Amino acid sequence: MSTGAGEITARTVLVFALATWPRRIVVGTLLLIPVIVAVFGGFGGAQVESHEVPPGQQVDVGAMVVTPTAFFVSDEVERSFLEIADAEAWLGVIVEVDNLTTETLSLTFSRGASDAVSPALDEALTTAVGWSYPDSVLRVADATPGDRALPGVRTQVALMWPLTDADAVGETLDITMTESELTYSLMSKEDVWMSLGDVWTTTLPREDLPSTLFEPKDDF
Amino acid sequence: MTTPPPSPDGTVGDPQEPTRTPSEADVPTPPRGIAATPPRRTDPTTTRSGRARTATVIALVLGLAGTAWASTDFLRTTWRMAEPRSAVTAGEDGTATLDGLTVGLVEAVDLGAAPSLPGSDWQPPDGFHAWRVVLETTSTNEDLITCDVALVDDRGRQFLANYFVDSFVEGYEYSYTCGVIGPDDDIGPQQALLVLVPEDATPRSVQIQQFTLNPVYLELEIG
Amino acid sequence: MRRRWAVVGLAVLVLALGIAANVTEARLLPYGPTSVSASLGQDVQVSPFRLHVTGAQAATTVTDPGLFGDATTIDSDGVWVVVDLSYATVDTIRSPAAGGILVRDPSGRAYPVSNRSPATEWLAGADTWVGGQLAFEVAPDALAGLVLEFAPSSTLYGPMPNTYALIPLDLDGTLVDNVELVDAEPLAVGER
Repeated sequence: MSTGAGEITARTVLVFALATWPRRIVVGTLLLIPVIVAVFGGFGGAQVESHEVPPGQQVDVGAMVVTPTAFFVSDEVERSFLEIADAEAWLGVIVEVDNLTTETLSLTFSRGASDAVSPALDEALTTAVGWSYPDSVLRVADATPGDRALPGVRTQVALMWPLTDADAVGETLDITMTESELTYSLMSKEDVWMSLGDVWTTTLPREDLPSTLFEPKDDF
Repeated sequence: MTTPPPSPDGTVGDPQEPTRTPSEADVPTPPRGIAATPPRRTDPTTTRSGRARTATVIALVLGLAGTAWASTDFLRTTWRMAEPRSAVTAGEDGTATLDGLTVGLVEAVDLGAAPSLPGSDWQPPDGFHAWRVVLETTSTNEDLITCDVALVDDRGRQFLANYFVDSFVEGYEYSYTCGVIGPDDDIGPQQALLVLVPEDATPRSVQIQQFTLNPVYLELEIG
Repeated sequence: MRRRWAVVGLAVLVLALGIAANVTEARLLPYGPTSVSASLGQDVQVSPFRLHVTGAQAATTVTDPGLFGDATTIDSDGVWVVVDLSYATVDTIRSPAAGGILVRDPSGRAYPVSNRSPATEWLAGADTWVGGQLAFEVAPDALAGLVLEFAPSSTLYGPMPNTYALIPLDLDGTLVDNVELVDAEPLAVGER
């Protein structure tokens, strides 16, 4: 390949950058920065903080404030859905949710896996697809669909996971709440949930199924 | 003394000829003499820079073709199959056939703005007429169940049967069955369908569509 | 010398254009810069639909008439906004894309058609206007300046800058106890 006079090539750029002593010092410093940083202990790792909180405490996970209070295990709610999911019972985590963003958020966190609120469940126990987010969400007050957290509208919902073995869940349940953000992914060109790291854990007491969620059996 | 480079046919220039050391002022001229060798032509496909250029052009064309293929993927697959685009029209016997489904238009009649419909007191809203469309159907297609039937006017507007009308008028089907009709089904070879059509519309044809048949559909002309 | 700067300048320009195109495409589609505004009581063209919003009310509860006379009253953690509107299409039977209709307040908070009431989108036909109600649940302080965004086109053809309509709902802050919901039904020609 012929090179005309004055053309920009890798060679000419290199020559330009090393032409004078000041430039050589600058280049040298740039190359040495990783070494210098390493000497001073390196960059701090992203600090993931873990907090233990009591049930009933408000936790700001970024996109929303969640307040988990209790959990239940029951097969007397959403009966037909339970049959379809081929499960024994629902694990329901009762949380109050306050959406701090300007967009309505799906509490089944369907866009990309979210760890915003996850019960510590053995994967084998639940038939839910992507077990870190719930299959079904009901508004506790009247068992209507509660899967939407509306901006500025605080609501109490039951996040529900279908269980294959209802007896495997004891009197207490550990749940983790992870700081999460719904961001726009340029790669997949859609909104996805991103875990930001900070984690809160709490141990919830077991309660009976709230009477407002009870669904009478259809006797045909 | 330097030897001139061999010419393309492989022969070396006449060694008896006196040669001069080339200088920058030299203008290429054919050597003086009886056997003048033809001026050497540079063949673009064989010189190194020529080959590189050809390769670049080929690579560019291939790259563009590949990009075009990738970026028209949506167009070629999803968009093309999304809506009905190409019609299968009626043959000489008045029926149109597609994928085992054969349909013939028995009648398409304007019942007017205030039709009397047996078993129903439903009436079209003001400004609309009810139309009766009867299709004779034979189907061996086991993948189909029901299909959409539309009256299409000269402006291209489609008015679909069984929408915005009473579903349970005696003598009319509440959906159009285009799949295989079993011996137990009480649907005859002729199915009557009720269509709501604005009074300013002049239906010209009947179209039978189903998204699994896309982009092909059946079209039967009226009259 | 000038040539060198030209090359550098062009490289920077290409990079900047690439980033700008990426961001624009990601952020603006499918809502391209084609919005059309209308007020209550007007017909507005939002291809492939024509829309007419009659009015809106804010209420504490709504009543679902039920299929067999078994009416249920539905309350809300927020406030109900019931919008009376009708629409027709230009070509064939269509329903506005789910999720394409929402109300937005001046601070940008967006609320979709509520999935807790039966007042959701319906089918309309070619020049066949069908009128009904859409119910939204919003924050109590979101009523003033609430605007209906009607973006009916599905993404069947991929993200495209389709037209959407903006209709200010002109809610005056009064809150009624209850609104009885009615089913959508086809309208006479000329009726909205």
